[in-house]
Amino acid sequence: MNPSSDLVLFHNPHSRAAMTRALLEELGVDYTLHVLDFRKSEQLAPDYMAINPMGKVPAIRHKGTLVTETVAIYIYLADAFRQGDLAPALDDPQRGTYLRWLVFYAACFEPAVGDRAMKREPAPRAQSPYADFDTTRNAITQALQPGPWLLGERFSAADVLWGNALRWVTGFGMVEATPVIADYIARVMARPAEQRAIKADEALAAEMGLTG
Amino acid sequence: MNAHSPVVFFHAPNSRSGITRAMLEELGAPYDMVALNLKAGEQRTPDYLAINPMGKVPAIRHEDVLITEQPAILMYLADLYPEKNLAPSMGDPLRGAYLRWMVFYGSCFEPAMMDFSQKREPVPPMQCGYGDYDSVMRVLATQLQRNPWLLGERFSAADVLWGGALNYGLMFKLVPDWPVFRDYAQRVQARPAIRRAVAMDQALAAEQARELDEALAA
Repeated sequence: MNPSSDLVLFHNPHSRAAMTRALLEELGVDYTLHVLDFRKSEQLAPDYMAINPMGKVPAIRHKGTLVTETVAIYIYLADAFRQGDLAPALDDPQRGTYLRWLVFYAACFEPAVGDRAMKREPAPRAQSPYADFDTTRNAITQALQPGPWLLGERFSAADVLWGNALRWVTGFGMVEATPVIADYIARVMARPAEQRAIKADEALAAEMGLTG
Repeated sequence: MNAHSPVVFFHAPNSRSGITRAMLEELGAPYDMVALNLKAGEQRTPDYLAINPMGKVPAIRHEDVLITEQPAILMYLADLYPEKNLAPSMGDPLRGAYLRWMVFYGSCFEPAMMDFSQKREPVPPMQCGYGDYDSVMRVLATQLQRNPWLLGERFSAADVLWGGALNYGLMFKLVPDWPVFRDYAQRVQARPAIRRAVAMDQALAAEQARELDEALAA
C-alpha cells in the first residue's frame, strides 16, 4: 500500500505553499493538489475556512489528519515519510538543532522580514520575541556559514524550507543576497526535486493564467 | 544519546521562559538552571549571545546540543520523554494538530500580539504569514471553546505553552479578556507542576531583585 496516496496539498503556485510542494517533491511521495484561486477568493470560502480558519495556504490532509502552518507541515511530513531521510529521528542528537531552525523561520524570520518590508520600527527588545531584522538575519547567516547545510554535512527538510524561503525573499528584494545566502540558495536549488517543483508550479501558474 | 541526562536550562524569571520551566516540571525532567538577570542585561553578554544570538531566553543545552525558540524546545522535550505522554506520538491522528498549534504560537500569535502592543496596521496577506490580530484571536478562541484542552480531552505540551502564553497575554492586556481565555489559562495554571514552577520563579525574581539592589548599593 502506498501510504501517500491519500495526501492532499491545498495549494496556490504563487504563495508560500510552493515551499511545501518542494518538500513533497524532495520526499518523493504521491500527492493530489487542491488548487485555490486567490482571484476568486477561494481561500476565504467557507469550505476552505473549515480546513484552515486563517484563510491561507498551505494546508495538507493526510489520512484524515489536517495540518496547517508551513513549519508544522514540514515537521509532520518529514517524520511521516521517513524513507525520504529528511528529518533526524527523535533520538538523533541533531533533532534539537533541526527543530530550532525550523521554528526560527516561522517565529523570527518571517515576522522580522514583514516588519522590514513595511518599514516599521522594531518593537522594544524587551518585548519583541524576534528582536529586530538585523539580529535575525545575522543569526541565520551565522548558522548557514559553516555549510554546506544547516545540519553540517546532512541535508534535511530545514534546508528545503530555508532554501526556498531565502529564494523568495531575495527575489522580491526584501533581503539582500549576501554571498553566504546566495551560495546556499544555489546549492539547494540545484537539486533535481527543487527544479521539478519550480517547473511544475510555473506550468500550473500558466495554466491558471497567472503569468504574463 | 542519553535521553534522560540533565538539561541545562537558560532562564530568567518574569519572562517567556517560565513556560519552559513549567514544561520541565510537568515532565519531572532533571535540569541545571542558569539564571540570567534581564534587568542587569545578562541576556546580551557575549557569553550568552554565543548560546542564543537573538539575546533572549529560553534556551536549553542537552547532550551538547543547543536549542532555542520556545516551541522547538517544548516539542523536543516532549518527544524526549514519551512515557510522560505530553505529545501525541508519530502515527497518532492528533500529531498533526499538535504540531500545528505548537507552530501557530510562534508564527501567528506572538507576532499578532506584537502588532497589537505596537498599535501597528496589519501587513498585507501576501507578505504576512499570520493574517491579523482579530483572526488569530478568533481562531484560537474557537478551538478552545470546544474542549478542556487544545487537543480535546488530552492534556499536552501544547497546553503548557498556550496556558502560559494566554496567562501572560491576559496579564499584560495583550489578548482580549474573554472568559474562554481566562478559564483555559486558569485550568492550565492550576496544575501542580505549573504552580510549582511559578512559585519557584517568584522566589528567583525576589532573589535577583535583592542581588541587583546590593550590587547597585555597593
